[in-house]
Amino acid sequence: MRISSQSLRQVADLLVEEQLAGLIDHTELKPHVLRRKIRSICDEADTHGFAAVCVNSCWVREASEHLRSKSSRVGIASVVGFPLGQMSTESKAFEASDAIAKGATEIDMVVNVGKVREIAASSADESRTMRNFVREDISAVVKKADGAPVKVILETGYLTDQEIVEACRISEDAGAAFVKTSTGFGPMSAYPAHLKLMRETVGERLGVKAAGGVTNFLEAIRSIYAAANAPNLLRPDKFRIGTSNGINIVNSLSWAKYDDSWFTEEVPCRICPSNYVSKQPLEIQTVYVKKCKTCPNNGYRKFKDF
Amino acid sequence: MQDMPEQRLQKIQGFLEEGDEILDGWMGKVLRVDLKGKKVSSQPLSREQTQLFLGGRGLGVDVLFREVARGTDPLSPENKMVFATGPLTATGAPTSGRYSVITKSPLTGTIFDSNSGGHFGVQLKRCGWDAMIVEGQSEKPSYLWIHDESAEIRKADHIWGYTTHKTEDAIKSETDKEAKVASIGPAGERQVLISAIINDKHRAAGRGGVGAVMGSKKLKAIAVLGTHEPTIASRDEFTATSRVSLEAISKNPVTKDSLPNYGTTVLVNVMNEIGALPTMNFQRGYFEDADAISGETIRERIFEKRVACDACTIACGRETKIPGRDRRGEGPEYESTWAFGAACGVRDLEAIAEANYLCNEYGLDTISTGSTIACAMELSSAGHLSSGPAFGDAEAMVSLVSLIGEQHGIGKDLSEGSLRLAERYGRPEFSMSVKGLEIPAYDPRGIQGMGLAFATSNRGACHLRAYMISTEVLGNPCLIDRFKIEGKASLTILLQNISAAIDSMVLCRFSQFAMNPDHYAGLLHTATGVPFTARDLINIGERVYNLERVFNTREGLGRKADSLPARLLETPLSEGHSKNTTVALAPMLDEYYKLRGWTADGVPTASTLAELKLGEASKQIVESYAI
Repeated sequence: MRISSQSLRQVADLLVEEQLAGLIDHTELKPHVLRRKIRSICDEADTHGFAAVCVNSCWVREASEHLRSKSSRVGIASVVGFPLGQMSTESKAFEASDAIAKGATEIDMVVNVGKVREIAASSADESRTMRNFVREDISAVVKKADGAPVKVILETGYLTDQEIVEACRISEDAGAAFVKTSTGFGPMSAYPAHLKLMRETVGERLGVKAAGGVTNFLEAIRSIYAAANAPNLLRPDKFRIGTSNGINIVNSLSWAKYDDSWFTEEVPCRICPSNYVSKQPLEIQTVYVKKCKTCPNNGYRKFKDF
Repeated sequence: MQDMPEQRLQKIQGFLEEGDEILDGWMGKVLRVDLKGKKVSSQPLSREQTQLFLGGRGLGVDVLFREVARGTDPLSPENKMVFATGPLTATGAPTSGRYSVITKSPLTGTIFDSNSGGHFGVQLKRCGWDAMIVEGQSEKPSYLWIHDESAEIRKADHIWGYTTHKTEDAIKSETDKEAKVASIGPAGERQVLISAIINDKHRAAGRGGVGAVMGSKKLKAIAVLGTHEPTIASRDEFTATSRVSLEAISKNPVTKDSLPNYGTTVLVNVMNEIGALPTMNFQRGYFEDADAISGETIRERIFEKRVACDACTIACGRETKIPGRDRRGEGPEYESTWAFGAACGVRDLEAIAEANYLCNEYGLDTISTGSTIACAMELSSAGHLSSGPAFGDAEAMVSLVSLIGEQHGIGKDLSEGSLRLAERYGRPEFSMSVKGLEIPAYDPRGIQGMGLAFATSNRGACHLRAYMISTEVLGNPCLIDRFKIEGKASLTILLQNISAAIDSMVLCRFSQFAMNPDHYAGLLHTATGVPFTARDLINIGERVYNLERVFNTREGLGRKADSLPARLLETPLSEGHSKNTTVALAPMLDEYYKLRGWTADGVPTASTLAELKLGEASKQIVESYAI
């Protein structure tokens, strides 16, 4: 996928710091996090006007009480079935219900990636069964979310394009509000090509969330170009960026005002998922590499720094 | 100790008299020291100067341009030195503990500003001075003792010949143990062209031979201790904007993790990995033994504790100790580690640390010293320097530092820097320098924008005029393609301008990893009460950059001087992740001049200068060059 300088500049011209901040889920999902860090990200999210904090479910009550004490409007997104998505449907549903009871206002659940992959790999009957399983897995969480928006994490680095499209459709069917690229613990970050594919699949009906590897304004703008390139999509119910670098992203946007040259077109391979396959399982890697070989931008791979 | 009458401090006439205009942020006063006439006097800092140049580098360049005539010998009494603070110095603003030294460089012949951290700058301002202009030449060695509004020129015969460390101890015992001291060592006294000014024992206004200028004036040291505080226009708002900037610093990966944990040497592995760690005098871009001298290894083997300058939360400084020996000090920083390490093909970390300590004690610029030794090593390997040092010879490298500091034996040749050394032996192309200043630790063949920044730097090869590494390698504020030339001229100009403004506020450039132009403008606005915007700051930086350029143009420098060593333009690297590349300088330079509003020869046009309110400079250029 190629993104021209002009396209990036146009997106940047649509943005102001406050608006960009309102699209960010300020995220802290590390296993070794301490309470003071959770309080700290809540304070930061409130100060900067981020859309939500995104935390593990065990921290929802802490975040909720802290934000409530500040009368903050910042949302609380609890991850569910995180980071592998391999829990039973019942346990995911319970975790969602528990998180909502403790103050979560949004749920970011991980899809059962293996079952998504079974859909394409199985016979027609089995495929239908798998599709139903994935749908039920999501809808069980949607029901327990009690009206709170549910974002379905697809972990796109484990999926082919066809499987991403399939997972998006099932998520929509199951009542999800968003589809989201990655956990940040998987094989791949959020890449524009995946984001574009997700937006094309869900249209304006669902939101798209870019999560994983978005650390500065240029990456944020590329993500927006791919998944929210219209004023009516630049809203927190249609697009989010999940990142622990939210402050850095918003701070760095200021530089964009003072020169257009930040937006020179990137070598397409550098923003292409097929260039970052080293952590993928071999059978998925093979699909990505094959796609790369037939890509019209393949000539760039001969460029020195790959 | 000296006779009492000479030790009596002289209260300077004109210091804060009734009716003087108080400028929030600034002290409003400049101290002028005439070493020949042994007079000290005060002059007001005009509001116009503060609005046009802020302070620090900008103020110093303005003074030098107006007061140092074309063709002045940098080591003559007619050259002047400006020691300048900025409007945020001593306010507690994040990373504001620095000062600048501005003079005409004896190494490059250009305008030059050299910048240092520690605590000296804050004390200078607390004495009540925004800046100090030193002029003339003392007949005998002397030092300055400035205590609040009083100043005195003292004899320094008894400490002439001392290292910087011994000098500082001696002066503190004669003045006040709390005083902060900036001094030259034996290298500066001997007017070694790569000598530095060292303050707080380990911090250096390192580059360009500013130590030699001080030595030429027989000024051994300056001691400062003050009790004044600048006024702040809006204390609450200033505290709030400082907090926002501090938060940005605490959230940026470079300023919250990399620099605090590993110091600047975190870059050794980063640069080596991309094939742009200049090795063996830039003959290669990859050093197999980089890990032996990396920030990670330094932390493991010689690190003692972190050290911070005044008002800094990053604390990138390292107190270090050579194991098993009674040798401790600060550093080596990244550039020093590279200069005595990869540049010389040396993998011995203890030797590198020792060379760094020696430079601080003799008062030498580590970058130019290491790079000049690397040049000597290449001359030696090419058969031009009989019995010269060989690449990788750590022992020879360390002993050469002392020889340079003492101008002894072969050290005398090396003490003039790599360009004069290489020219002497008929191989000027072995000097990896621009305008005579040695290139720091980044091979621009792998980082095109950095190549343009080196070439167009007004003080010669300097990585800090526009630290393109930040965006081309480290991804701050975002990662751009380091091999492309498209857009690099424009970004280099933006970073040169904002960097000149930051240097004129006299903040640490590491703040730039995390802070954006609006942060800087916010700090300046709330401290001074003047509604500076980010765009104003960029314009001020552009004004400073152009005035520096005019100074150099007046000295006869033009496009020809804005170049790089032939090796970087013609010989591709043969290995690593930057192989098969050279710097495509010419097209970037053409675009750069055009965007700057300069002629194709790199001379600022009258209309450009007029737009920047540099009428006087414009007039001189028009008269000199009939443009």
